[in-house]
Amino acid sequence: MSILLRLLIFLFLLGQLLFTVKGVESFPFFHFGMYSAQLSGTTQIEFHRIFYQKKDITAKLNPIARYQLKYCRSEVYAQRYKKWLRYYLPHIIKDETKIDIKIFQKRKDQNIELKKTL
Amino acid sequence: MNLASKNISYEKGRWMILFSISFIWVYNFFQLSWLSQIGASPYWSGSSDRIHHVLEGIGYFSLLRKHIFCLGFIDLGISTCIILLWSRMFQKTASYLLLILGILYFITYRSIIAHPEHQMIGFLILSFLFLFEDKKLFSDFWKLSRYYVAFIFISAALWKMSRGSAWDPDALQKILLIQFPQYYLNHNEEIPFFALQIIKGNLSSTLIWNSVILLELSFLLSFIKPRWNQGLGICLLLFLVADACFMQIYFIEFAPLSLLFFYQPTDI
Repeated sequence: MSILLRLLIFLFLLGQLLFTVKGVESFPFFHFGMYSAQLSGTTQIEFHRIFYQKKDITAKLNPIARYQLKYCRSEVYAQRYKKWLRYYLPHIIKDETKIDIKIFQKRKDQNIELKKTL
Repeated sequence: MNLASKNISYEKGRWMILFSISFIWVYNFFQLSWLSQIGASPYWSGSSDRIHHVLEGIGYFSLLRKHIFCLGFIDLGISTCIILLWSRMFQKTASYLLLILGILYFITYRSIIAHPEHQMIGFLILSFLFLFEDKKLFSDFWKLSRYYVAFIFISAALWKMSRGSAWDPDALQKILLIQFPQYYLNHNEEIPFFALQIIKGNLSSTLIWNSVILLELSFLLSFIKPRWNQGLGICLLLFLVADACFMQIYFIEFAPLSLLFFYQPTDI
Protein backbone atom coordinates (compact mmCIF):
# COMPACT_ATOMS: atom_id res chain seq x y z
CA MET A 1 0.00 0.00 0.00
CA SER A 2 1.49 3.36 -0.99
CA ILE A 3 2.22 6.11 1.51
CA LEU A 4 -0.42 8.35 -0.10
CA LEU A 5 -3.07 5.69 0.33
CA ARG A 6 -2.10 5.15 3.97
CA LEU A 7 -2.27 8.90 4.54
CA LEU A 8 -5.74 9.08 2.96
CA ILE A 9 -6.97 6.23 5.17
CA PHE A 10 -5.53 7.94 8.23
CA LEU A 11 -7.20 11.26 7.32
CA PHE A 12 -10.51 9.52 6.73
CA LEU A 13 -10.35 7.76 10.10
CA LEU A 14 -9.44 11.01 11.82
CA GLY A 15 -12.31 12.85 10.13
CA GLN A 16 -14.77 10.08 10.92
CA LEU A 17 -13.70 10.03 14.56
CA LEU A 18 -14.05 13.79 14.84
CA PHE A 19 -17.51 13.86 13.26
CA THR A 20 -18.66 10.89 15.34
CA VAL A 21 -17.55 12.50 18.59
CA LYS A 22 -19.21 15.79 17.58
CA GLY A 23 -22.36 13.90 16.56
CA VAL A 24 -22.73 15.62 13.21
CA GLU A 25 -22.85 14.25 9.72
CA SER A 26 -21.26 15.51 6.56
CA PHE A 27 -20.40 13.34 3.59
CA PRO A 28 -18.26 11.16 3.66
CA PHE A 29 -18.31 11.15 7.46
CA PHE A 30 -21.50 9.58 8.70
CA HIS A 31 -23.11 9.72 12.09
CA PHE A 32 -24.94 6.67 13.42
CA GLY A 33 -26.59 8.09 16.53
CA MET A 34 -30.20 7.42 15.53
CA TYR A 35 -32.58 6.53 18.36
CA SER A 36 -29.92 7.37 20.93
CA ALA A 37 -31.67 10.34 22.57
CA GLN A 38 -33.53 9.67 25.77
CA LEU A 39 -37.20 10.43 25.14
CA SER A 40 -39.15 12.14 27.86
CA GLY A 41 -42.32 10.19 27.11
CA THR A 42 -45.09 11.02 24.73
CA THR A 43 -45.54 14.66 25.75
CA GLN A 44 -46.55 15.81 22.28
CA ILE A 45 -46.91 13.95 19.05
CA GLU A 46 -47.89 15.42 15.72
CA PHE A 47 -48.42 13.37 12.60
CA HIS A 48 -49.90 13.55 9.14
CA ARG A 49 -52.44 11.31 7.44
CA ILE A 50 -53.35 11.48 3.80
CA PHE A 51 -56.81 10.79 2.38
CA TYR A 52 -57.71 10.12 -1.23
CA GLN A 53 -61.40 10.20 -2.12
CA LYS A 54 -62.07 10.30 1.66
CA LYS A 55 -60.15 7.04 2.19
CA ASP A 56 -57.03 6.95 4.39
CA ILE A 57 -54.18 5.86 2.09
CA THR A 58 -51.20 6.76 4.31
CA ALA A 59 -50.18 3.12 4.66
CA LYS A 60 -49.93 2.81 0.87
CA LEU A 61 -47.29 5.54 0.60
CA ASN A 62 -43.67 4.49 0.28
CA PRO A 63 -41.04 5.96 2.69
CA ILE A 64 -40.04 8.75 0.29
CA ALA A 65 -43.62 10.02 -0.02
CA ARG A 66 -43.95 9.80 3.78
CA TYR A 67 -40.76 11.80 4.39
CA GLN A 68 -42.10 14.55 2.17
CA LEU A 69 -45.56 14.40 3.73
CA LYS A 70 -44.29 15.46 7.14
CA TYR A 71 -43.20 18.84 5.71
CA CYS A 72 -46.81 19.69 4.76
CA ARG A 73 -47.57 22.56 7.09
CA SER A 74 -48.89 25.26 4.80
CA GLU A 75 -51.47 25.31 2.03
CA VAL A 76 -48.86 26.29 -0.57
CA TYR A 77 -46.59 23.37 0.28
CA ALA A 78 -49.54 20.96 0.44
CA GLN A 79 -50.58 21.93 -3.10
CA ARG A 80 -47.06 21.28 -4.40
CA TYR A 81 -46.95 17.99 -2.54
CA LYS A 82 -50.28 16.83 -3.97
CA LYS A 83 -49.18 17.71 -7.50
CA TRP A 84 -45.89 15.86 -7.05
CA LEU A 85 -47.66 12.83 -5.58
CA ARG A 86 -49.79 12.48 -8.69
CA TYR A 87 -46.57 12.38 -10.73
CA TYR A 88 -44.69 10.13 -8.30
CA LEU A 89 -47.39 7.57 -7.42
CA PRO A 90 -49.73 7.62 -10.43
CA HIS A 91 -50.93 4.10 -9.64
CA ILE A 92 -52.43 5.41 -6.36
CA ILE A 93 -53.25 9.06 -7.11
CA LYS A 94 -55.12 9.88 -10.32
CA ASP A 95 -56.53 13.29 -9.36
CA GLU A 96 -54.71 15.54 -6.90
CA THR A 97 -57.81 17.62 -6.17
CA LYS A 98 -59.28 14.64 -4.32
CA ILE A 99 -56.44 14.53 -1.78
CA ASP A 100 -56.85 15.78 1.79
CA ILE A 101 -53.96 16.02 4.21
CA LYS A 102 -54.87 15.99 7.88
CA ILE A 103 -52.52 16.89 10.71
CA PHE A 104 -53.30 15.25 14.04
CA GLN A 105 -51.79 16.07 17.38
CA LYS A 106 -51.70 14.59 20.83
CA ARG A 107 -50.57 16.51 23.88
CA LYS A 108 -49.77 14.87 27.18
CA ASP A 109 -52.81 13.25 28.80
CA GLN A 110 -55.07 14.39 25.99
CA ASN A 111 -56.93 12.53 23.35
CA ILE A 112 -55.90 12.79 19.77
CA GLU A 113 -57.28 15.84 17.99
CA LEU A 114 -57.39 17.12 14.42
CA LYS A 115 -55.20 20.22 14.15
CA LYS A 116 -55.49 21.15 10.50
CA THR A 117 -56.75 19.94 7.13
CA LEU A 118 -54.83 20.96 4.02
CA MET B 1 -16.56 -24.32 15.52
CA ASN B 2 -14.64 -22.30 12.97
CA LEU B 3 -16.54 -19.18 12.01
CA ALA B 4 -13.66 -17.29 10.42
CA SER B 5 -14.30 -15.61 7.08
CA LYS B 6 -14.07 -18.13 4.27
CA ASN B 7 -11.19 -17.52 1.86
CA ILE B 8 -12.26 -16.88 -1.70
CA SER B 9 -10.45 -15.92 -4.87
CA TYR B 10 -10.06 -12.33 -6.04
CA GLU B 11 -12.27 -13.05 -9.06
CA LYS B 12 -15.07 -14.48 -6.93
CA GLY B 13 -14.88 -11.47 -4.61
CA ARG B 14 -15.25 -9.04 -7.50
CA TRP B 15 -18.10 -11.06 -8.96
CA MET B 16 -19.92 -10.97 -5.60
CA ILE B 17 -19.53 -7.21 -5.42
CA LEU B 18 -20.76 -6.66 -8.95
CA PHE B 19 -23.77 -8.87 -8.30
CA SER B 20 -24.54 -6.98 -5.06
CA ILE B 21 -24.22 -3.56 -6.70
CA SER B 22 -26.54 -4.64 -9.51
CA PHE B 23 -29.02 -6.10 -7.03
CA ILE B 24 -29.13 -2.87 -4.98
CA TRP B 25 -29.59 -0.77 -8.10
CA VAL B 26 -32.43 -2.89 -9.49
CA TYR B 27 -34.04 -3.06 -6.02
CA ASN B 28 -33.94 0.76 -5.87
CA PHE B 29 -35.75 0.91 -9.20
CA PHE B 30 -38.61 -1.19 -7.84
CA GLN B 31 -38.67 0.96 -4.70
CA LEU B 32 -39.19 4.03 -6.94
CA SER B 33 -35.90 5.40 -5.61
CA TRP B 34 -34.16 6.35 -8.83
CA LEU B 35 -33.78 10.10 -9.07
CA SER B 36 -35.76 10.29 -12.30
CA GLN B 37 -38.62 8.42 -10.62
CA ILE B 38 -38.70 10.83 -7.67
CA GLY B 39 -38.46 13.92 -9.88
CA ALA B 40 -39.26 17.38 -8.57
CA SER B 41 -40.20 16.58 -4.98
CA PRO B 42 -41.59 19.63 -3.17
CA TYR B 43 -39.07 19.92 -0.36
CA TRP B 44 -35.30 19.65 -0.91
CA SER B 45 -32.97 19.76 2.04
CA GLY B 46 -29.60 18.34 2.93
CA SER B 47 -30.14 19.21 6.62
CA SER B 48 -26.73 19.91 8.15
CA ASP B 49 -24.68 18.12 5.50
CA ARG B 50 -22.00 20.56 4.37
CA ILE B 51 -21.61 18.91 0.97
CA HIS B 52 -25.26 19.77 0.22
CA HIS B 53 -24.56 23.44 0.95
CA VAL B 54 -21.40 23.39 -1.17
CA LEU B 55 -23.33 21.91 -4.11
CA GLU B 56 -26.15 24.40 -3.52
CA GLY B 57 -23.55 27.18 -3.52
CA ILE B 58 -22.06 26.21 -6.88
CA GLY B 59 -25.53 26.02 -8.42
CA TYR B 60 -25.85 22.23 -8.75
CA PHE B 61 -29.26 21.98 -7.11
CA SER B 62 -30.68 25.08 -8.80
CA LEU B 63 -29.60 23.59 -12.14
CA LEU B 64 -31.44 20.37 -11.26
CA ARG B 65 -34.53 22.28 -10.17
CA LYS B 66 -34.59 24.20 -13.47
CA HIS B 67 -33.85 21.16 -15.64
CA ILE B 68 -35.36 18.28 -13.74
CA PHE B 69 -34.64 15.85 -16.61
CA CYS B 70 -30.92 16.09 -15.63
CA LEU B 71 -31.71 13.74 -12.72
CA GLY B 72 -32.16 11.04 -15.33
CA PHE B 73 -28.53 11.41 -16.47
CA ILE B 74 -27.28 10.16 -13.09
CA ASP B 75 -29.59 7.11 -13.22
CA LEU B 76 -28.64 6.46 -16.82
CA GLY B 77 -24.93 6.83 -16.02
CA ILE B 78 -25.04 4.35 -13.13
CA SER B 79 -27.03 1.85 -15.19
CA THR B 80 -24.57 2.17 -18.09
CA CYS B 81 -21.56 1.65 -15.79
CA ILE B 82 -23.12 -1.51 -14.34
CA ILE B 83 -23.83 -2.87 -17.83
CA LEU B 84 -20.25 -2.08 -18.90
CA LEU B 85 -18.85 -3.86 -15.85
CA TRP B 86 -20.94 -6.96 -16.58
CA SER B 87 -19.86 -6.97 -20.20
CA ARG B 88 -16.20 -6.47 -19.11
CA MET B 89 -15.79 -3.41 -21.31
CA PHE B 90 -13.92 -0.26 -20.18
CA GLN B 91 -13.70 -1.84 -16.70
CA LYS B 92 -11.41 0.75 -15.16
CA THR B 93 -13.27 3.83 -16.45
CA ALA B 94 -16.63 2.27 -15.61
CA SER B 95 -15.63 1.46 -12.03
CA TYR B 96 -14.34 5.01 -11.37
CA LEU B 97 -17.41 6.54 -13.00
CA LEU B 98 -19.68 4.25 -11.00
CA LEU B 99 -18.21 5.48 -7.72
CA ILE B 100 -18.41 9.16 -8.74
CA LEU B 101 -21.99 8.83 -9.98
CA GLY B 102 -22.87 6.72 -6.91
CA ILE B 103 -21.67 9.54 -4.64
CA LEU B 104 -23.59 12.10 -6.71
CA TYR B 105 -26.70 9.91 -6.55
CA PHE B 106 -26.33 9.47 -2.80
CA ILE B 107 -26.02 13.20 -2.06
CA THR B 108 -28.74 14.21 -4.52
CA TYR B 109 -31.09 11.48 -3.30
CA ARG B 110 -30.77 12.49 0.35
CA SER B 111 -31.36 16.11 -0.60
CA ILE B 112 -34.42 15.61 -2.80
CA ILE B 113 -36.14 13.31 -0.30
CA ALA B 114 -35.09 15.65 2.56
CA HIS B 115 -34.10 12.77 4.79
CA PRO B 116 -30.58 11.68 5.81
CA GLU B 117 -30.95 8.04 4.83
CA HIS B 118 -27.99 5.71 5.29
CA GLN B 119 -29.11 2.73 3.24
CA MET B 120 -27.06 3.51 0.14
CA ILE B 121 -23.80 3.39 2.11
CA GLY B 122 -23.73 -0.29 1.17
CA PHE B 123 -23.69 0.63 -2.51
CA LEU B 124 -20.90 3.18 -1.98
CA ILE B 125 -18.67 0.85 0.03
CA LEU B 126 -18.99 -1.90 -2.56
CA SER B 127 -18.44 0.48 -5.50
CA PHE B 128 -15.32 1.77 -3.76
CA LEU B 129 -13.98 -1.77 -3.39
CA PHE B 130 -14.49 -2.34 -7.08
CA LEU B 131 -11.80 0.25 -7.88
CA PHE B 132 -8.97 -2.02 -6.81
CA GLU B 133 -7.59 -4.24 -9.53
CA ASP B 134 -4.50 -5.11 -7.52
CA LYS B 135 -5.27 -8.33 -5.63
CA LYS B 136 -3.42 -7.36 -2.48
CA LEU B 137 -5.08 -3.93 -2.30
CA PHE B 138 -8.48 -5.45 -2.99
CA SER B 139 -8.00 -7.91 -0.15
CA ASP B 140 -6.75 -5.19 2.25
CA PHE B 141 -9.63 -2.82 1.46
CA TRP B 142 -12.13 -5.65 1.80
CA LYS B 143 -10.83 -6.07 5.36
CA LEU B 144 -10.89 -2.31 6.01
CA SER B 145 -14.48 -2.10 4.74
CA ARG B 146 -15.41 -4.88 7.16
CA TYR B 147 -13.92 -2.86 10.02
CA TYR B 148 -15.86 0.18 8.87
CA VAL B 149 -19.15 -1.75 8.89
CA ALA B 150 -18.30 -3.05 12.37
CA PHE B 151 -17.61 0.55 13.41
CA ILE B 152 -21.10 1.58 12.20
CA PHE B 153 -22.72 -0.84 14.64
CA ILE B 154 -20.35 -0.18 17.55
CA SER B 155 -20.75 3.58 17.16
CA ALA B 156 -24.57 3.21 17.13
CA ALA B 157 -24.41 1.25 20.42
CA LEU B 158 -22.00 3.71 22.05
CA TRP B 159 -24.21 6.63 21.09
CA LYS B 160 -27.23 4.94 22.68
CA MET B 161 -25.20 4.41 25.83
CA SER B 162 -23.79 7.92 25.99
CA ARG B 163 -27.02 9.78 25.21
CA GLY B 164 -29.08 7.68 27.54
CA SER B 165 -31.61 5.68 25.50
CA ALA B 166 -29.72 2.48 26.41
CA TRP B 167 -30.53 3.00 30.08
CA ASP B 168 -34.23 3.77 29.59
CA PRO B 169 -36.24 0.54 30.09
CA ASP B 170 -39.14 1.91 27.99
CA ALA B 171 -36.98 3.39 25.22
CA LEU B 172 -38.15 1.01 22.51
CA GLN B 173 -41.81 1.45 23.43
CA LYS B 174 -41.46 5.25 23.24
CA ILE B 175 -39.61 5.04 19.90
CA LEU B 176 -42.29 2.76 18.45
CA LEU B 177 -45.06 5.13 19.53
CA ILE B 178 -43.34 7.88 17.57
CA GLN B 179 -42.64 5.54 14.66
CA PHE B 180 -46.26 4.35 14.55
CA PRO B 181 -48.50 7.23 15.69
CA GLN B 182 -51.40 5.57 13.89
CA TYR B 183 -51.73 3.54 17.10
CA TYR B 184 -53.56 6.55 18.55
CA LEU B 185 -56.10 6.36 15.71
CA ASN B 186 -56.60 2.62 16.28
CA HIS B 187 -55.15 1.79 12.86
CA ASN B 188 -53.39 -1.19 14.40
CA GLU B 189 -53.47 -3.23 11.20
CA GLU B 190 -50.76 -0.89 9.84
CA ILE B 191 -48.39 -1.67 12.70
CA PRO B 192 -46.11 -4.74 12.53
CA PHE B 193 -47.20 -7.52 14.89
CA PHE B 194 -44.10 -7.45 17.12
CA ALA B 195 -44.09 -3.65 17.36
CA LEU B 196 -47.72 -3.69 18.41
CA GLN B 197 -47.00 -6.25 21.15
CA ILE B 198 -44.26 -4.00 22.55
CA ILE B 199 -46.47 -0.91 22.43
CA LYS B 200 -49.23 -2.79 24.26
CA GLY B 201 -46.73 -4.10 26.80
CA ASN B 202 -47.20 -7.79 25.90
CA LEU B 203 -43.54 -8.08 24.89
CA SER B 204 -40.68 -6.80 27.01
CA SER B 205 -39.38 -3.54 25.54
CA THR B 206 -36.31 -3.63 27.83
CA LEU B 207 -35.29 -7.15 26.84
CA ILE B 208 -35.47 -6.47 23.11
CA TRP B 209 -33.85 -3.04 23.31
CA ASN B 210 -30.94 -4.39 25.38
CA SER B 211 -30.55 -7.33 22.99
CA VAL B 212 -30.29 -4.89 20.07
CA ILE B 213 -27.58 -2.90 21.86
CA LEU B 214 -25.71 -6.09 22.72
CA LEU B 215 -25.98 -7.21 19.12
CA GLU B 216 -24.49 -3.90 17.99
CA LEU B 217 -21.71 -4.15 20.56
CA SER B 218 -20.91 -7.70 19.48
CA PHE B 219 -19.24 -6.19 16.39
CA LEU B 220 -16.29 -5.37 18.64
CA LEU B 221 -15.40 -9.03 18.10
CA SER B 222 -14.55 -8.23 14.51
CA PHE B 223 -11.47 -6.38 15.81
CA ILE B 224 -10.42 -8.80 18.53
CA LYS B 225 -11.70 -12.23 17.46
CA PRO B 226 -11.72 -12.36 13.64
CA ARG B 227 -12.37 -16.09 13.78
CA TRP B 228 -16.02 -15.27 14.65
CA ASN B 229 -16.58 -13.12 11.57
CA GLN B 230 -19.19 -15.38 9.99
CA GLY B 231 -21.22 -15.17 13.19
CA LEU B 232 -21.10 -11.37 12.87
CA GLY B 233 -22.33 -11.68 9.29
CA ILE B 234 -25.34 -13.53 10.68
CA CYS B 235 -25.73 -10.84 13.39
CA LEU B 236 -25.82 -8.19 10.66
CA LEU B 237 -28.57 -10.02 8.81
CA LEU B 238 -30.44 -10.61 12.08
CA PHE B 239 -30.28 -6.90 12.82
CA LEU B 240 -31.81 -6.11 9.43
CA VAL B 241 -34.58 -8.66 9.92
CA ALA B 242 -35.33 -7.22 13.38
CA ASP B 243 -35.42 -3.71 11.90
CA ALA B 244 -37.96 -4.87 9.33
CA CYS B 245 -40.07 -6.78 11.88
CA PHE B 246 -40.17 -4.13 14.60
CA MET B 247 -39.66 -0.79 12.88
CA GLN B 248 -40.85 -1.48 9.31
CA ILE B 249 -37.49 -0.12 8.11
CA TYR B 250 -36.03 -2.14 5.27
CA PHE B 251 -32.26 -1.92 5.04
CA ILE B 252 -32.04 -4.25 2.05
CA GLU B 253 -29.20 -2.16 0.56
CA PHE B 254 -27.17 -2.98 3.66
CA ALA B 255 -27.59 -6.75 3.43
CA PRO B 256 -24.79 -7.35 0.86
CA LEU B 257 -22.34 -5.91 3.38
CA SER B 258 -22.68 -9.18 5.30
CA LEU B 259 -20.52 -10.69 2.53
CA LEU B 260 -17.58 -8.74 3.99
CA PHE B 261 -17.91 -10.88 7.13
CA PHE B 262 -18.67 -14.20 5.46
CA TYR B 263 -15.78 -14.07 2.99
CA GLN B 264 -12.23 -12.77 2.63
CA PRO B 265 -10.55 -12.65 -0.76
CA THR B 266 -6.97 -13.79 -0.72
CA ASP B 267 -4.26 -12.11 -2.74
CA ILE B 268 -2.70 -15.41 -3.82
